[in-house]
Amino acid sequence: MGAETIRTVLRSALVLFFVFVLQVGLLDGLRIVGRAPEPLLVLAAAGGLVGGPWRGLRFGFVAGLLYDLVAGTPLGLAAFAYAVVAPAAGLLAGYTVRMWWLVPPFVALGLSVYVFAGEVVGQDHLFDDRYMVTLGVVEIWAIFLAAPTLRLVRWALNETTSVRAGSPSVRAGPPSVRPLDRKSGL
Amino acid sequence: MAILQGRSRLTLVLLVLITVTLVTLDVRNVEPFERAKNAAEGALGPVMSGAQRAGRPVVDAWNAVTDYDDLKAENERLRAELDVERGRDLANASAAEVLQDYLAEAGIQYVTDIPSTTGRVVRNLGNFPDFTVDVDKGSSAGVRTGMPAVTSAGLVGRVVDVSPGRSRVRLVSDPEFELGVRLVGTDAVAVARGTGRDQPLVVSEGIGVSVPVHVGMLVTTSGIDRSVYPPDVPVGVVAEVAVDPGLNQVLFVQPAASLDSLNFVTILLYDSGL
Repeated sequence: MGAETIRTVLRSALVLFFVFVLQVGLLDGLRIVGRAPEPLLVLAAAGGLVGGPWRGLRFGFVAGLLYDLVAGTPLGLAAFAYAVVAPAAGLLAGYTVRMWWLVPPFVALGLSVYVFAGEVVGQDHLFDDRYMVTLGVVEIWAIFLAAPTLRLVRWALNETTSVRAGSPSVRAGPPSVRPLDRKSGL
Repeated sequence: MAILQGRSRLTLVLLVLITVTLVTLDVRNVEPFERAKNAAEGALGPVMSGAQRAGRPVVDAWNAVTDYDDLKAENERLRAELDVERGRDLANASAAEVLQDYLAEAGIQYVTDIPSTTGRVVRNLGNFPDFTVDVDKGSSAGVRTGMPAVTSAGLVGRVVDVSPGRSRVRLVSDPEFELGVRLVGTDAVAVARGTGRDQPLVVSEGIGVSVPVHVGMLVTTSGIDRSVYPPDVPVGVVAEVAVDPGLNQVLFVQPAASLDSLNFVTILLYDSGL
């Protein structure tokens, strides 16, 4: 394991812990009509968009596990949903510019996968008549959280590329052929 | 799919399998897995508590702003209720005193001789609260799985998970929650079930039409043999009575404890011997 890989792993762990503490200590209390933001889900989607499917998958899995441990739902449920949504977002990583507005749709997808998977395993309380309200509030927060979260993930994965449309530094091609992916462990 | 190839695809399949396995183990309450999960939750507990303590001023300020209209409306409603209460003959007695008088008249000694520990309800994370609350008292305070949780008003639920510093209490409103109850003033014993958030408990079997039941009757834990609850803990008050085709009375029981605004919960260190 090279120094670059170790640094990336440590930074990723730090970002995951930071976002977890932020969600638990602050953002979960900033509720609108009783609904809270889901920054760990935003982190999973951003992880996929920045790191590609491979690294996003692990980002999403760990973020989901952290969420599961404190949400009261079965362990593995959010890990499953986040581990699905992060690589889904990662599929776009090599082909599109990584703009912040790509995050909210994947957050919506992740929330829906979470609720659907929960219903499958008998968590009937996840889907109720206020689900659309929940989705709306989570999306509003995702819009605000997307840009700073992308910046955090870029720092964690040691990605310094600008993401503005038309920027010459935006890379094309699937993430699996990017040199950084081969070099980094995450 | 060309993008997810080789190692990535294998990892995806592996992680999905792991998550499905985790969910299965958790849902089925496999003992070693539960212990490991409780240990992990226990390790995160101090982080959660510390983070929530640190963020509380900001969250309180946020709530003060966003809930201002609700608080104002509730304040006005409470003032109106207070005026009504003042006009009644109960002017010198608080609601709690009335309940205590009622319990005393019915010969009920409510948790006077059972050791207990009181903990703060810790906020559960996320947008999908289930029928549980976490309390910041755990096995290190003597709490064990199965112990009843109460407030001064009555039964709240039962401890279903314990770690050293935290307990998870399943609320009586959970549709999977069942307990034996007794109608105060009668010999009738039946089973009450939760029916969901903000919904009354339902007693659908065991109360025949010959049993005199009226709205306002107190329902307590039955205290029969093999019950995990001590006897005579208030469960709720009969809010509605119906009769089913089998000539059983169906009782809708309003829980005595206010389940949607729990701040502190007392866990009775009651050993049912089961």
